[in-house]
Amino acid sequence: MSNREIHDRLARRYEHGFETAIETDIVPPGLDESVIRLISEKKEEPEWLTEWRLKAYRHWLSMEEPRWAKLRIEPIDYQAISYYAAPQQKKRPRSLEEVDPKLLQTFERLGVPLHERARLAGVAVDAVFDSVSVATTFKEELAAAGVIFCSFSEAVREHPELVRKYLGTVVPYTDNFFAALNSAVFSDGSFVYVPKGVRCPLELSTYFRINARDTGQFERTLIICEEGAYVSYLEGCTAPMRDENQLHAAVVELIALDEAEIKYSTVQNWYPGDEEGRGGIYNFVTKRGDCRGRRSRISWTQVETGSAITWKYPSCILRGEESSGEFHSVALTHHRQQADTGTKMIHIGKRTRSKIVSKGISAGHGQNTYRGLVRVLPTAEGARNHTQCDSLLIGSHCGAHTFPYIEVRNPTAIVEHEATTSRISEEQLFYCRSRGIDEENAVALIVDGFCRQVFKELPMEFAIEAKKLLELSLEGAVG
Amino acid sequence: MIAPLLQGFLDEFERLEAAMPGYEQAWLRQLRRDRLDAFVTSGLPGRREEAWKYTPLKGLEQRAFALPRGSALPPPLPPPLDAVRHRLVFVDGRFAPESSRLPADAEIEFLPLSEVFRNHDAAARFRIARLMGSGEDALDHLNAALATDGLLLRVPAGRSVREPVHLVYLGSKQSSGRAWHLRGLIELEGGARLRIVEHFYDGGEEAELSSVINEIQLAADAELELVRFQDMGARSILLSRTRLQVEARGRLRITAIDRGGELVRSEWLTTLRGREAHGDIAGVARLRGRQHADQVVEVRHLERDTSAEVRFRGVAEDQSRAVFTGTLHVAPGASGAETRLSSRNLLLSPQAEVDTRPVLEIHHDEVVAAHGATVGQLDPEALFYLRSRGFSETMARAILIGAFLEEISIRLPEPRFAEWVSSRMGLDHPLPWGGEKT
Repeated sequence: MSNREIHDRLARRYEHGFETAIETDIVPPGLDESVIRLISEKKEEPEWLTEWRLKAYRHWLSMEEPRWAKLRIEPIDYQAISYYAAPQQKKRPRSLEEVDPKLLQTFERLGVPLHERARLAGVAVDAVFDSVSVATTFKEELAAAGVIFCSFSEAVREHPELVRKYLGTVVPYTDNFFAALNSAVFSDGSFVYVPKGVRCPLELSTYFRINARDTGQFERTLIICEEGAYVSYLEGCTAPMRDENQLHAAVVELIALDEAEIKYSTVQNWYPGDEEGRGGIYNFVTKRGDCRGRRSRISWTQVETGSAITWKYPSCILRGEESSGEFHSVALTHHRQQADTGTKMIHIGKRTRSKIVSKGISAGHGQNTYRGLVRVLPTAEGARNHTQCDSLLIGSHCGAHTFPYIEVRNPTAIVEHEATTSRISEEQLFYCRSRGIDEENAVALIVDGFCRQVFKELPMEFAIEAKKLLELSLEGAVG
Repeated sequence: MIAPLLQGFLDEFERLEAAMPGYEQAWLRQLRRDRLDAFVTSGLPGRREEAWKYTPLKGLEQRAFALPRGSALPPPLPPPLDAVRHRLVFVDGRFAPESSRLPADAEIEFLPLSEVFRNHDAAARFRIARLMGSGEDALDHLNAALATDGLLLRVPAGRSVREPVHLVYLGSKQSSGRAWHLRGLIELEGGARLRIVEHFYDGGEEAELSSVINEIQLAADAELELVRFQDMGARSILLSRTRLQVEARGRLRITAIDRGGELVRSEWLTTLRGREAHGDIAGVARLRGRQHADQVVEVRHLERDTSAEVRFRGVAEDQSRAVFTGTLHVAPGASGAETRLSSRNLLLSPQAEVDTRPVLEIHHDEVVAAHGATVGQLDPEALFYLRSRGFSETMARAILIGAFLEEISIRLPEPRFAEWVSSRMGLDHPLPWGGEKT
């Protein structure tokens, strides 16, 4: 392949790098109490929420940026970020027909099914553009089942009692630096409530898009599953290509009551920056699930291919007896991307179980770190954990690191951890090539095999998307 | 206000500085003062320091320790040690020539550090200045400022020392609240071979703080086997750090047993610097009562075709806490490196705790790297089987614990030492470190 071709392919690599020209209602950069009041006011929030935001902001001021991750981060100027950007619309759209066609086109280009054809896919979608939710589909169908699926702002207006009861109970605003910042300035996100005994009839999906320049996206997602309920939730994310870094600091809280089950899947494809590491999203996210009820289950699945820096640890607090937590992850870093990701499993209840499968792929100058904590408290009689984390290195300039922390305080617990590091071997490649598969496809094949264990946890449409994404992201990694 | 421990060391240093060996050397005087300053500035590490997360020492700052004065009478050595041919004994942080034995035909060059402090040529000064200047955390500072003795040991090129050299680190415990510090350098020149057996124990149950920092350098083709048996008293605090550098084709084999002490940190920081250098590091922590042991192993692969195998086993009973951190690091360009680590632990009491951190840092693709860690308990079925064959609960547990540790314990070189180690542990049956105290 000629250099030119390679260049072209690399440039094409990030297909979602376009920008939509749309009028945006944007708050000037900077952060102080008045900005927070303004955001709150724009969103017509009740007094208690404004106060909560302000408390979080004041707490944030007293905190320092964490430095412990194995990441090189350019200093972030929090005063240079605009904390609120919304596509300008005359009034709130009542149905999909009233949404700005430009916006719809954008989501069309991204392959997000907002229209009727989505029915075939069986997915209900909430689309978040910059800071606000622009459209949620299939509301009526969901409402018939008793499921609430709407934007976070709408939930604050329509179901304040639920929001107030659960907001910040899993990730308090004091939790960490970025969670505090999010609590102060979060703009929108999704809200899901599945009542007792209901199995959500559709897969729920949120699509996040950062469009405006110099903005940060701070969404907040809250999912509550009552006794015996089930929901599967997917999120996807993209952003335009830009030379400067943009901050994305989200908070996700999951609450599972007795025998409830939440499956949360992420395909993260924020703009990763170019080959030299210019630009890209800083993806600093706090995700935590609380298995409050007995026999409740929370499962995180993530495919992380985008972002300049990914820093997230979707966690499970296993409080209920016999509750279980799972974490399945594929994280890919190419060029100058960095990822420090993993999970925390906190075993509190009796006979709680957790399973961790992490697959890290590093190529180019990418740095990929798995960091995980398994903590078994004295109350967690008979707790069980198994962790497997494998790393795949492609090329000799990348790095793969594993930092597991295992803390056991109950003698009836069994905790096992294993990790391996390997590379795509010459033999594997030779074998494929001798069968007529070219190098690029051979790598894709081997990587797909390496990730299979995680992909099978994803809903089918997402699994296909994830596989495609990985192939695209790895273009130019060998040869 | 400055913490009692820091103030205590400052005062002691003030009082005893002029009596420290090498005080007349301006460079050494300055170095000690600088390092003491650095120590007082940093203080002991706390929970927020990643490397000390599970073994914060901040609490120790509220206690004060005195430096040893005069020379203590060494307690009699236990019989197996009495019989050995080569032995170097340090009592309360000082070399004890009257208890030591190193015949001239041993083919080893030995000098106590205190002697070299007083009297050295330019070349020796360079060596010891480097030794005293190395390291940059609180423990390195403290030790460099206050260590007044230690060993300088060299095996000349091509020599193979047949008899093992026993290094005995002993606290006399003649008074309570003492602190002693030792620093040493062991050099194996090209192709040299040496066996070392380190013993840490003390003569009583008084509170004591000690730090021992040794640097060990293996030149090309050198081979070292090192066994440590640490059995300090129930109120002893031991902070030990061994830095090992291995050049091309050098081979290192370490077996470290931590059994005693109230609070013990043992660090084995290994750098495989030359091609095909090999490190094999294994250890056991066998803890009871309120003991806390933190074993740290780091292997840095800098060159091609280096290899390492790390295996540690922890057994925590009563209210004890076994901590392990094992880091395998492969530098860019270290093609063909092979590195493996396993940390397996038995947690045998509801009040005990095991914390283990196996870390991989891999910066090159052509490597084989793997680690595994487990925490569990004795297999109830195996226990039941032994009970059904008439073994008492105690004995059955002892057998299973012994079996769990056997992979490491069989590495002990001489049977008479293996037996002695068992007896030091208060065992009345031959299984090493198996049973309950009788």
